[in-house]
Amino acid sequence: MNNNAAIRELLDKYFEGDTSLEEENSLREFFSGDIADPALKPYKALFSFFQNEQRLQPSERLEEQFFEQLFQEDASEPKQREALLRPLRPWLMRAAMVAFLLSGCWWIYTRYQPPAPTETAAIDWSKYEPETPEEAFRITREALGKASRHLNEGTSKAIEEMALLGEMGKVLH
Amino acid sequence: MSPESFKHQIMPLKDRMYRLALRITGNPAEAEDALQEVWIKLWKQGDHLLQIQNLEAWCVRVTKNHCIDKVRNKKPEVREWTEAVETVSWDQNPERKAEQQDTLRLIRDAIGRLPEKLQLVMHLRDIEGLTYQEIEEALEMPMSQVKVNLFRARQQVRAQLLNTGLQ
Repeated sequence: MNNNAAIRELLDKYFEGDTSLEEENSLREFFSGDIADPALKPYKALFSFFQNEQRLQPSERLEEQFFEQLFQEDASEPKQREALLRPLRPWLMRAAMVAFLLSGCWWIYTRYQPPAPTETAAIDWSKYEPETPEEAFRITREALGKASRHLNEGTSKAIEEMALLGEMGKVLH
Repeated sequence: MSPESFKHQIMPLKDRMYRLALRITGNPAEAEDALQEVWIKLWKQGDHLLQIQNLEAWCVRVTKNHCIDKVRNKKPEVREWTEAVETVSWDQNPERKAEQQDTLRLIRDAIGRLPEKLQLVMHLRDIEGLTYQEIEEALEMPMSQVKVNLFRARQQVRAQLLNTGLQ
């Protein structure tokens, strides 16, 4: 009877959330035996439920299956990568060859490029400027004469071609 | 992390992780699937796992988060514990056995009706026997909240027990 009173007190403490783990274990132990007190019987069901739940376990094969899966994944990973790369291999080889040729060309281009032209000295035009009006007149006259000769050549050629066209027209009529 | 150290450090916690997964999913097959997925998650953490101070609390936390996500991503449906969950009765008399299994189911349902936080706190304390500090770490919940939730959970279950008039 005394024991039951102590258990009821402990139960109240338990439902208030004030029990320690040791006290909760002693409640579990008490309720694992036969209970005569009808007021305590509903709590036996509760503590039996806890005990029942503590026994639940995953299936034995679960851990084994996990490690099997893990090793299979590890083993198949390089094979999967290889299978993915296989169709790309010819293209990768071609790309590598093109890259090699381009880099070779670039190397040759940069190695054998002619030296950059050095800066040309500025022309001193003042040396060529006419010093007297007579000299300026002479230079201008020579330049105009040269231009006139070229113009005359063009005119005579045009007259010749017009004459040729006229003859061709006569033949056609 | 080598498979050997994974086996030695994580696998001793498998029953605890499974029961938590079962509490959240309510279905043994789903709980096992979730557990496999959690192990893969943990395995992928590699050597970081060895730097974790309280590995047990960490595993419980990862399991809880994974299972909650899994349940929330599922189509809404009435969650019922499947009959595949083994029930052990405390009486060998066949007539009483069925009755006691019904009682266990009633209690499971009573706990199952509690809000998620209350259920988890009660599970970790009353079934797994964790200390308040371990529950605090596993559920990322302040200790005061752990105590309040445990108090509420036990009170609600007690009320339901007395209402059903269990003998």
